[in-house]
Amino acid sequence: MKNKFISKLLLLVAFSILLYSCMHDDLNSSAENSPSKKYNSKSVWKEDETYIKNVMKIYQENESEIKKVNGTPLWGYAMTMGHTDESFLIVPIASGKTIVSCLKVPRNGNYITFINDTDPEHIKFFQGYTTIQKRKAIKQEQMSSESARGIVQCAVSTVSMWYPNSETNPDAGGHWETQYITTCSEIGGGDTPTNPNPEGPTYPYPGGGGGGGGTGSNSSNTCQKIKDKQNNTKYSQKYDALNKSEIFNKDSERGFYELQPPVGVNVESGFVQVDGPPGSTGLDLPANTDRITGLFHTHNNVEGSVKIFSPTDVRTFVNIFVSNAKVFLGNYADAYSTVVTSSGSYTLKYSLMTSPPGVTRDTGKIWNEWYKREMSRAVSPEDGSIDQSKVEQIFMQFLNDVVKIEGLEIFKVTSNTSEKLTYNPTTKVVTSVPCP
Amino acid sequence: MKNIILIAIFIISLTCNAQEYPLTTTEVPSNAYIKDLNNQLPAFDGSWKGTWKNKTFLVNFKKVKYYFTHLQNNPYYQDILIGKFQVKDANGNILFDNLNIPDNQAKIEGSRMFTNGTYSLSYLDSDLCDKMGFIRIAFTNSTKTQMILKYSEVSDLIEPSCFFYGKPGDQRPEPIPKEIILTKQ
Repeated sequence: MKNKFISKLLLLVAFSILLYSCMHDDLNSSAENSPSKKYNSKSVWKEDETYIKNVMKIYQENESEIKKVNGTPLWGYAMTMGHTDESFLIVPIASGKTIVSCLKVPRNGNYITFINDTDPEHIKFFQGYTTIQKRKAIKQEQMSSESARGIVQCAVSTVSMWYPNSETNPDAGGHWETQYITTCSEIGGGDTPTNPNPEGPTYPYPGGGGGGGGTGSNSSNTCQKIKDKQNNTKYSQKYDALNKSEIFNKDSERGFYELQPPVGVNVESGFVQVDGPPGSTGLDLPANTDRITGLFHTHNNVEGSVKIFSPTDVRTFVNIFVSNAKVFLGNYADAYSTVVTSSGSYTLKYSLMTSPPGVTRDTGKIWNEWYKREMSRAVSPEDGSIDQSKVEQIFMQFLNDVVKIEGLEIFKVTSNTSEKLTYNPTTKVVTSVPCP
Repeated sequence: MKNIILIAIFIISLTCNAQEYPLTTTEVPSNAYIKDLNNQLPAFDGSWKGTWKNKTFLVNFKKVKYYFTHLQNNPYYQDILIGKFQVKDANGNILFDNLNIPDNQAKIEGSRMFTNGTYSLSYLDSDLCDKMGFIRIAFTNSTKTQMILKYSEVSDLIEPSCFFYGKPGDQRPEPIPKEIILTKQ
């Protein structure tokens, strides 16, 4: 009797497991088939699949931020409009079977941006393109023309689609109709491409879209690069202009960013002063960061001030200054970010000859969580300050354990000296090695 | 035989338990339980209210046991306070309100207790362009019905995508007062 009961129980358990696994198989497979998760080309053209897949990944990681309309991107129908250099795509957004919008995704250097496109011609094109059973590629063309602000480059794709003569009677025959889709971008007067979406966020594009460059490290040159900068009169003047008690005691932060001239224009870089609003603790980045390769800024003497880089400082350096340095100076290692404080100044450098991995906003959020937890544990109960050696130790642990970007180096600097900080993860001790 | 098994289970359960440390612990050992051994946190529990700049600040503190996994190879448990708050202007208009968000999304999260009774917390607000800061609270009377709250903000670069980018200082969000006396409700 007892054995029979146990057998029945085991049978019941086995059946439950089977049911559970079947259910999960079903869920998994439906997730994989979801149009927003996997790329299966349904295009009539040979598309730039590398670009589409990379854009899909970035979209999926940042969907909540990018999504502006209710609908799902139909990645299978994404079109790169004849571009093969990982530079552009347009994808329809569908709600059910209705195309409600499109997303245009151009690459600008090492960044991409997502532009909501409600052009009725584009929506109409994709409504047919995504629902018509018979489609034929006709031709793809690139053309350019001059406009008041520069050169407009357009791509035109022509597709023939077969429409039935009667919606209700499939035997009534049909006819072919030619449909076009045209996408254009503007390039300002000989400069680098302008940001087509200045209001929207940008996202680092993996590998910079084949921007190229050698591999290997030039770490030993980093000290020399800092020294070269310190010997530059303009650079040292800006450092000295910030390294003053009256600046540290202001109720707003001050900074200078180094702006490079457009590619091909042979003039020296310039420094632009930026001031945070009075009574604030932040400093606004310029709206256009395209040609910025370096930044100095202060962290002032206010209660609770963390006198070293914030996670956003690090992210901005990696995502913007380092890639700009490659474009405008030919070398990632020429980028810098320096924070000037009354407890010491620090410079971030990147020493490798290959592009650092881009830092997404989601990664930035993980950085923020770690940073605030660990820094807040070190705050003094009396005045909210943090002992500077503790700040250095926590920040170095942050770089080592959380940021983990090979080639990212930090130096403690004065107007004419620098020492590289290193961190031992076992002992959690920070040591500094003076630059020769 | 039965006794041996029971003893073995008892020993295993003892060794599996995380080692307990007080809230004032600075270095956190792996798998530790930073526990409110002196029962200090319940006194902070509940609603606290105060006014500043003609605004009303209401904060609810709640004691929870939290499992931290952000440190590399060093997860640990800790009894902490979490905080949710609401700010109203003089006309009763709600300026900031996160009273009803889930506990695991609370924007204010406890850090540690100091030996002088001050408790420190961190603040991170993804709704305000990742505004980050540190909070310290301490009782100001022996009956523990009043506390002082001090807040300091972490300096940061403001990106163009942030909604208060480019705005003057007085038009930027100020969700938490720099200093305020709060009364228990």
